[in-house]
Amino acid sequence: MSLFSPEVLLAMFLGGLYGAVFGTLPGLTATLALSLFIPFALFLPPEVGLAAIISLCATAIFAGDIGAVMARIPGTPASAAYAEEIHDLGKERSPTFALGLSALASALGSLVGTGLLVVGSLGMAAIARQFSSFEYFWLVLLGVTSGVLAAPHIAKGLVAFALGMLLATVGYDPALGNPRFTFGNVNLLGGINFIVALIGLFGLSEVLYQLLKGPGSSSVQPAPLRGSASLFFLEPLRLILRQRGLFLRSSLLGTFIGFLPGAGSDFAAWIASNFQRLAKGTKETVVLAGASSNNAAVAGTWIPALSLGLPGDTLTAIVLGLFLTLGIRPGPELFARHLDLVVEIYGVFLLASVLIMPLVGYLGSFLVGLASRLPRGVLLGGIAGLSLLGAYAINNNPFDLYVLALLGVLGLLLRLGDYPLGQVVLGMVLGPLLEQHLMVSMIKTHWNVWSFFERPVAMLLALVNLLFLVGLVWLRLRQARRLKAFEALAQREEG
Amino acid sequence: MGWGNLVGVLAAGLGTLAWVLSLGLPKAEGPGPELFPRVLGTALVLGGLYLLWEKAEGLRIRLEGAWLRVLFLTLLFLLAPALVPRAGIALATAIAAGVGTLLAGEGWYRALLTALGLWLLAYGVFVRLLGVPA
Repeated sequence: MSLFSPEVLLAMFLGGLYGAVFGTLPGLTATLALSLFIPFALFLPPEVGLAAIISLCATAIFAGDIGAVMARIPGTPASAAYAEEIHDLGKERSPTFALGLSALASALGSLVGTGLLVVGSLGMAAIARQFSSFEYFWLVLLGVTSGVLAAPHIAKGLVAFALGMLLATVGYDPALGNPRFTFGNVNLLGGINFIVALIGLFGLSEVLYQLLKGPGSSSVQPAPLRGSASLFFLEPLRLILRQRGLFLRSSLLGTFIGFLPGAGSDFAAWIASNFQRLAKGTKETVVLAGASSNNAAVAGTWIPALSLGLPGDTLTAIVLGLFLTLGIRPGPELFARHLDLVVEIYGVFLLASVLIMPLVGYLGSFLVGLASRLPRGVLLGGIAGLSLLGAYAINNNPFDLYVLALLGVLGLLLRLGDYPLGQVVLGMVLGPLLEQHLMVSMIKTHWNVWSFFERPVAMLLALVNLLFLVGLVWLRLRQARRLKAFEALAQREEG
Repeated sequence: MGWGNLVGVLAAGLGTLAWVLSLGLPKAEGPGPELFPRVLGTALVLGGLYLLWEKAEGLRIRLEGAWLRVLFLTLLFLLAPALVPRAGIALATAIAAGVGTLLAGEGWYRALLTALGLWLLAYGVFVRLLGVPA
C-alpha cells in the first residue's frame, strides 16, 4: 500500500479531524485521543493505522490553539504557552488570521521538524548500531532522569515514574524468566497490557475526574470564522516570510527540545514563546515562535523513538507501546527490518505538514463549532463506553476490564493529587528497557559494576547523565529561588 | 491533608509491598529479579514519605455527593468482566455509555441515544467488521 493510496490518505484526513476535535476541547488531550484510537489501530493495516496516528498527533497539538483563539481556553498545555497572545490577536485582527497564523506556523514548523527527523533518526540509528547494552542502559537512564526532572514537581514526577515502572515489572522478569508479582493469576503472566493501562489511566480516569468536578464552564463557544481564505493562508505566510529567522530558530529549538526524552511539545512552546517575550516581541511573533516550535517538537520526539526506541513524550511512548504490541522493535533494528515503515513515517509527516494541517486547520475550525455543541454528559458517556470497548477488544479478555477499572481509579487519584500521568506511561515504556539493559550488562560481566564505564561511548553517556542531572537540578533550584523572591516581593507590595 | 499527601501514602505503601513481595522471588547468582522492584520500592517509599510530609497544596480531600457517582461508575466497570460474557460486548458498552451519560447529569433521552450510538459502533464496527467476539 503506497503513501498516496486512498486508504492512507483517508486515514490521515480522518485522523487529522479526530485529533483536531480532541485537541480543541479542553480536558480532552491528544493522549486521550490516541488512547481511545489505539484499539481501532490494532485492527488496521500498520501503514493505515500509523498514518492516522501521525496525522492525529500533529493536528491535536495544533488544534489546541482553536480553543485559545475562540474562547481563551487552550485545548492543550502546548497552546497554553501563548494562549493570551493568540486570543488577543483573534480579537484585534480576526479569528481567521489568528488561526491561519497558527495553522501555517504549525505546518511549516512541522516541516522543519520532519527534515531534521529524517536526518537525525538516520544518523542516530547508524551510531546506535555500535551500541551495546551498556550504552543503551545510560541512554535509557538519561530518558528516565530527564522525564523525572521535566515534571513540574520533581518528587511527584519521581513517584509517577516509579509507579509506571513498577506496573511494568508485573509478568515474566527479563533476568531469569520467572513470573513476578502475578499472585498466581495466569492473566498477569504476560504483564499488564500497556494499551489497557493507557485507556484506564487516561480514558476512564478522565470520566471519573469530570464526574467529580461537576459541570464546568469550559465549553468552547466558537466565534464564526469570517474572512477569505487569503486571510487564513496568505497574510500569515507573508508574516512568516518576514520573520523567517525567528521561525527557523523556533523550529530548530522545538525539534531539539522534542528530541530530549520527556520534554515534549509543551516544554518547547513555553521556552520558544518566553524567549520571544523576553525579546519584547509582538503578539504575532510570540504566537509564531510558540506554534512553530511545538509542532517541530512533535517531529523531534520521533527521532529518539525511531532510532533508539526511547520515547520523546507521552504520545511517542504510546506509539512505541503499539510497535511492541505488534512485534516491531524500535531502534536500529527498525531501520534494518522495517525500512518501508520508517519511510512511510517520514512521508506521512511530510504530507501531514504540507497538506493535512493547513486543510484540517481550516475545516477543523468549522467542525469544532459542531463538536463543541455536543453536551458534556454525552461526551463523557461516549468516552466511558469507548474505554470499556477498547480495553476488551485488544485481547478479548474480560480480566483486562479489572485492570482498566483499577488503573482508572489510580489515574483519578493521581490527577487529584496533581501528579503527571504522562510520566506513568513513560515509566511503563522505559522501565522494562532499563531493567533489561541493566540485567543483560550485569549478567554478561558477572556483576562487575565498572564495566559500565569501560567503553568510551558508555563513559561519555555516563558523563552526559551526570551533567544533565546536575544542570537540571541547578536550574530547578534557581527557578524555585526566583519564585520565592518574586512571591516575597509581591507580599511586600501587598502589605 | 490534600490528595497529593494521600497519594504519597499510597506510593509508600506500594513501595513497601514491592519490597516485601520481592523477598519471595527466586534467587540468581548476584542480584536477580528482585533488584529492580527493590530499587523502585525504595524510590516510592522515599518519594511517598516526602510527599506525605510536604505541606498540602492544591485539592483538599473532601468527600461529597459527587463521589457516589464516581463509586457507582467504578463498580459498574468492576462488574463488567462478569457482564461482558453474559450480555456481550456491544450491550456492555451501551450500558457503560448510557450510565456514564446519566451520571454526568444528562437526561434519559440523551443517555439512551448515547447508549444506542455506542451499541451501533460496538456491534457494527467491532463485532461485525473487526471480528471481536460478541
